[in-house]
Amino acid sequence: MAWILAQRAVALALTLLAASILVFVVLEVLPGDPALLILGVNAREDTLAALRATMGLDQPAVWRYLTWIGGLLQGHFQNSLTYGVPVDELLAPRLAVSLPLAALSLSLAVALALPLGVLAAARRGRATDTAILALGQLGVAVPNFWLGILLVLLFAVTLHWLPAGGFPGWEAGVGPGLAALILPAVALALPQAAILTRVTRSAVLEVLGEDYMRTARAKGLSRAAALWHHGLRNAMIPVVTILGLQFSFLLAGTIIIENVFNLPGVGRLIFQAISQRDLVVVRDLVVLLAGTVGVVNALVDLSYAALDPRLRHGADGARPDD
Amino acid sequence: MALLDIQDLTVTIPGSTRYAPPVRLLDGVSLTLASGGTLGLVGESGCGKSLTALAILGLLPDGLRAEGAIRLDGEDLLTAGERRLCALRGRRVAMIFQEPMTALNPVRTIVDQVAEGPRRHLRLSRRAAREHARAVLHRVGLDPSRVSPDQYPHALSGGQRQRVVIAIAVACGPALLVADEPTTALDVATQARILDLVRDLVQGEGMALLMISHDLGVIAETARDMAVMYAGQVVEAGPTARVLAGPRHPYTSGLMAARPQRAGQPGAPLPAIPGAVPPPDARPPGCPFADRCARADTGCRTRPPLGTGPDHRHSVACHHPLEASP
Repeated sequence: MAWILAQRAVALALTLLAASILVFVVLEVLPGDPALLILGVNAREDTLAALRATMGLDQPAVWRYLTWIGGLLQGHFQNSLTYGVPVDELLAPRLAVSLPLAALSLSLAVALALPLGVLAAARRGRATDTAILALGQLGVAVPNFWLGILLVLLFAVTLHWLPAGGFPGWEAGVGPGLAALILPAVALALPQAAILTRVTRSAVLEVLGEDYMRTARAKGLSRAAALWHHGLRNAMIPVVTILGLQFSFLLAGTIIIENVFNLPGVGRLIFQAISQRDLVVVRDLVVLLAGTVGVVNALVDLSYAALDPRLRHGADGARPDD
Repeated sequence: MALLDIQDLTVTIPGSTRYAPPVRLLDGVSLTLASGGTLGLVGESGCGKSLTALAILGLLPDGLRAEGAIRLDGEDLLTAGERRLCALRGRRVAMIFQEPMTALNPVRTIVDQVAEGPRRHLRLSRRAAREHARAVLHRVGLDPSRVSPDQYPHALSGGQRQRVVIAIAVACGPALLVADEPTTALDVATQARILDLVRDLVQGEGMALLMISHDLGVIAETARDMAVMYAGQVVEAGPTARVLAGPRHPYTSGLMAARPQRAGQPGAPLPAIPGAVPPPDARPPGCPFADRCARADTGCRTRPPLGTGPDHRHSVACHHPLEASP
């Protein structure tokens, strides 16, 4: 287990290094002068040069990269070009929206997909199975921003149960805060749940055909007990894999959904930073997202080891003879 | 009363099209096994041996229909409900499977997998069931000082895993043990030790054994009575010693001739039975063995043979049985 942890930590560090170099180079190559952006096109050349000097833009690229990364490693963030405050101060309140949103939609997707997938597999070929598959097909096909708009129309505009968008802030209390996150979370979760349901169904179907399931039945376990005690854990590995992959899509989805619902989250911050060419914010956020995906992948790998004892040691040890 | 009494067991699978008739995988199989007795079931792959075993446990694959009667202590298992079957499986009738590499759950420890049956059937506490399971593992030859009960299956060899599978089967002291090719997947030295173990357990605990094998040697070593299956039917049945000394069905005699031990010079080809088993959906109306049989005449191809025999203990389903050897 410790070996896997060390491996994953090294992989994560390398991912972050690569992501930071990539985003830095891309932003360096792209046209757009931050000083010009701040002062406007009518600024005088000597004023621009002075601003570039105070921003350190006259330094060589390698030096600027090292200052940036060195600062991040010490927890020191540079100032946003448009807001004039360090990126971490921008980030903190937005993470307080985006993290609960991500957690809520992931748990919703899992809570829907696992029971439905298992049920569909247990009732393979019958009406229940067909209905779940059809719903899943629909869920995969519907884009989440459109689903978001439909949800707003039904639950906010027509029924007045939930707010149509915006975020009151956690200061307003947990209830109103959560209420503002429910519709966006559902819009994010349903397409994910649809895919996850199909994966769960096929994973459980595969496990149902395994010899050890028959051994369990021969011990006297009922179909349901055999599935519960012997099937689920074995079926979880492909499900966890897909869940990890879906997390990246979830991050991409929050950028769209936070805009649809006008939520002040990280996704919206990225969107704004890009359109305002706030390169300082963009590069920090890209590294943050890469780090998040890396951490999630490491968690997925660790969960494999927790689920399957065969994956706990690097290599399979020699077997004793009979 | 026999412990296990199978009468006219027929297992069918629906035809491939809506109007095709159902295909008979097992065709009127009748077997009896007394309490504490041993019965060997022998035949080529695909003759229905394993299907018979699964039918006894009520674990036929979905879509297969069983008709006839399978009585355990007089109780018909084919009409018993699923709850009742769950109570009987593992408790009164248990099964050893062919493939030790896949028969165990890779993510649960071996003691856990053995303890599950006793916990359910003997209503033991979690701790008591594990203690019981440890004792059973020791009994089947897995010394806890060499093979920890808390190991996962992947750390064990094939022979050790098969011992775990056997421990699972015998953990609740069943009256009937069904062993479906328990040694086929193992190397020769391990085979012999596993057979010894099964024989020893059956005698020690007074269990009845239904030993299924394609290997006449295994049957000869473990079963007092035997039945030969061919194309879903029992073609010859009787005391093992008598059947092997004087096979009456041409198929039985062909099987015996095809054993490597019986062949002549090393390097000489084995006398194989010509042809192949007819697939279940293309069985001839008469004797299923007629097309491969040197003694067959036109009558064999049109009339199914009836089970008759020299006496009530040794029966053979053949129009032209071989003469009993003097």
